[in-house]
Amino acid sequence: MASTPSYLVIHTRDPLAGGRDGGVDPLVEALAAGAPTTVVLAQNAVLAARRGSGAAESVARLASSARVLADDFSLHERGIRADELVGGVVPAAMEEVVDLLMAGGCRAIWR
Amino acid sequence: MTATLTVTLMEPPYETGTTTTAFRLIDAALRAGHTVKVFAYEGAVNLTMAEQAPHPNPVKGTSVEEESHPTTKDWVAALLRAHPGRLDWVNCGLCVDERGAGNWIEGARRGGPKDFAQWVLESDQCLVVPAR
Repeated sequence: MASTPSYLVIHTRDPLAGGRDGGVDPLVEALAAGAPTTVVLAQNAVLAARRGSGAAESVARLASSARVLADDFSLHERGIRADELVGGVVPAAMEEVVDLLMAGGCRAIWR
Repeated sequence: MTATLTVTLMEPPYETGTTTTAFRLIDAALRAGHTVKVFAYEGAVNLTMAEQAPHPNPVKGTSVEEESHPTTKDWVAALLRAHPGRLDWVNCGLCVDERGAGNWIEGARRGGPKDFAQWVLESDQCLVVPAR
């Protein structure tokens, strides 16, 4: 029997850079509405998860419909502590990301 | 349970943090015991170029040794050494020819999109890491 599908979206872009409006990726919203979805914020995408960032409200909304993880290495590189993150966003090591990626039924997208 | 992961890389070296993130993911997958197959496409074929060399930083006045500049070909070589038989690295032949990037480190090999298609069918998971 096939595993229940879930989605893993690895987001690497700052949602406020390059003229973007800081809103939640519509693709992620659509995925999260239909199946268990985990979003991993990595590289400059973790900047959006700081409380007080222009995208914080969108990230908090995303965290209400999807599991949102922030790559601990990317946080460390940018000097962002766990207690500075928007509620619902949890730091995660790459080992955890790999476990999610290799779980049965996971469909992975790198954005 | 260990499984097989296929990763397609497109980002050339030293452009964005994507290369580092992808290498960290590949490293973590290998350390977890999985088999990883990397299809280097487009600019990613330059990741294994043997001529890559670390450099000093004349602005800061630091030497090659002080800079300890990492090269992607050394990262790939280290992963191949650390996980013999569990990392397969294929450089897209057409992409290599376009770029004159045919002199690569030991362990990588030439292939084509057919390899990628076959891996997708055979692997437990596939991740496409696009370029910007």
